[in-house]
Amino acid sequence: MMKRHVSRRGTASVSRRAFVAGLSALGAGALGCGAPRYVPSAPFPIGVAAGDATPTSVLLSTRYVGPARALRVAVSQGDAPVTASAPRYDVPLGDGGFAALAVDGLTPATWHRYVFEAVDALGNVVETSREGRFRTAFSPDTLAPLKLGAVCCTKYTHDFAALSSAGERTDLDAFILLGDICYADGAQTREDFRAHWGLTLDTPQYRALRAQTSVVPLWDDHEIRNNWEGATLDPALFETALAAFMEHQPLRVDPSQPHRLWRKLSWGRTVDLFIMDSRSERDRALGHYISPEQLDWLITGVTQSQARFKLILNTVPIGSFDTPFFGPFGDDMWLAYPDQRRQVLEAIDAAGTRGVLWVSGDFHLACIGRVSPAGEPGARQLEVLVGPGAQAPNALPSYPSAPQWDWASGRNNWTEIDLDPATGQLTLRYTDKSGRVFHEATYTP
Amino acid sequence: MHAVAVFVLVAAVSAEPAPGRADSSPADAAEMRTLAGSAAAPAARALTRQGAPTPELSLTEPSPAPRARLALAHTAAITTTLATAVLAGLAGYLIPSQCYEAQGRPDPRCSGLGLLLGSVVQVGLAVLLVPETYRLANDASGAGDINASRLGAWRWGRWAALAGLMFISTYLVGALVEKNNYGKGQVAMLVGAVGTLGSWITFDVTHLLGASAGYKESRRVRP
Repeated sequence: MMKRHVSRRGTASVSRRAFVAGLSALGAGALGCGAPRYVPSAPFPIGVAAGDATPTSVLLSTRYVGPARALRVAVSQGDAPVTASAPRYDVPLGDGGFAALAVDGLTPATWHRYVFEAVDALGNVVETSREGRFRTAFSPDTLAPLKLGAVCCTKYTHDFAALSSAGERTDLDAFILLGDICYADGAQTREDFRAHWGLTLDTPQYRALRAQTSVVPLWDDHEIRNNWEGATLDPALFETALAAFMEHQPLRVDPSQPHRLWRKLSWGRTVDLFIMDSRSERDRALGHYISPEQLDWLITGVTQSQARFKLILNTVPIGSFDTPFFGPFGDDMWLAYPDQRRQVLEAIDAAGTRGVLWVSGDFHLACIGRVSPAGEPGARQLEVLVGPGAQAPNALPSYPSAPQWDWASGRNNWTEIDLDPATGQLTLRYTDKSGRVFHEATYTP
Repeated sequence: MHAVAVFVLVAAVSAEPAPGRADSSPADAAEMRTLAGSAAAPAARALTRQGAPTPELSLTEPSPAPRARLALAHTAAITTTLATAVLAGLAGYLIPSQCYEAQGRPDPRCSGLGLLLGSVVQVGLAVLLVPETYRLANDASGAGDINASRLGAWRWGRWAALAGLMFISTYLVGALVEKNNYGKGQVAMLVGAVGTLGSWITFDVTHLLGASAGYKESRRVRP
């Protein structure tokens, strides 16, 4: 196995961190704004996470706020506890105790386990994190079943119970965190954002979930501000929020294009995941929901994909939610950018691409249906809305229903997406806070 | 819907006594007091002095309520109105929330029934309770007629209640359409919901004004 460091800024003393955190919390409390009060609950407060798994590599991350000055991670192949003989890699500790390491040279389609260890000056292990698991992606020619989980909209002021059963599952190959994972509205400084992220991820449910399998993180609006768009957001605030997002979620970004969050992950010939960034390239004045580059990448990638399934991780729905009740929300959707919407839907239709599934969230509404009504572009494309994981349900008095939409619910949930390339079928299962599957449906897109 | 219709009809009938009714209802007393300010007043007073048997007619001479007592009654009336609105909201929330729990999604028909139930509770409680708060304005100098207050409140507020009934009907029609044709009933539901909300507010305000006016009228000193 080879290792590659992901650069982070220099370290800071715990006492200073604690002082700054306390001071900012005090100031925020006095002013009635800014960050909520957050005190890390443990030396590894947000647990561990693996992200953006490829056939041979993965990004491992954690946060350490204990007294030790050095960190390392042990990674072992196989789904058995990490042993003393497992290879260990030094992990640079960044500002705030955040640490991430890309580990390469792994075996495809294989479960691995890892654990972070804090070591003292003599090299003795003084603290260990909980153990994490991940599965590397399939090799490019593999056609095998895949189980994905997905959730969005988890506000830390709400009950995270719906995530509990996801954290107990050992058979999910990866888990999609589809935006609005952290509600950081109002945050200004790095410490503000860290407090919001801490309150979200420093919870038993997220610690368990993120340790159980690798994640595919996206962001949506509430990671910064409600319905923000890149063209009008304060650039300094954007940089601060992006840095906080990157230090809390394990995702790969090309160092030469640090703002490009859209990317593709492939699991053999089973599925291509097109991970969109629907926020930071928006420019309403130009009619751009996403940049032309991202649009070209999406259209080309989906229509030329050789994978049996093409999952477009989309955050805000592309479906034609254009009824009077959804009118007030129309400005934030693809619908408000009709040229780009038509372009992508028509391109997929024209190419006759099969196996497309738009995976969306944002609406506090679980829903399955076709992107458009019969006769319009996208009428044969399937869209599934996942979540909300921990949010108030969509308050509209009428939810989408037939003929365009097959099902909808406002219950808090996480969503399982089972892909079977042999039959071409995908099965969707919605699990509620009691761990019960309350809706299941199978499609052959 | 029927419950409101019945309520409206019953209330309207009871608020407007038929001419020549033999029995002396509280509404009659209010009418008599109104008469006391007109040319027929001496006859009415004479009837009272001669020991006419109806207790309503043996009330003490009307006199304006003291400002402080009236202010107290106004405050109580407003507070009661707000409380009835809250109770109505809670009652109206019951049905759709039960439907949501059962189905995991809203049912437009349930929210329509919730609007109806909330409206019945609001109108019913307001009509029953708000005029009663004007008892607080009674004191040693005199007592007003609560039924006059109730009559005034209803006269002022009934049109808003009727409008509310129409808007709820609109909402329910929209909900029935929406149930089987997603998106097709939403305009009617929106009009119904906004109209019902407006009717509720209008009813509360006019009902309050009417209750106050009715009470004050019953205590007005006639020349």
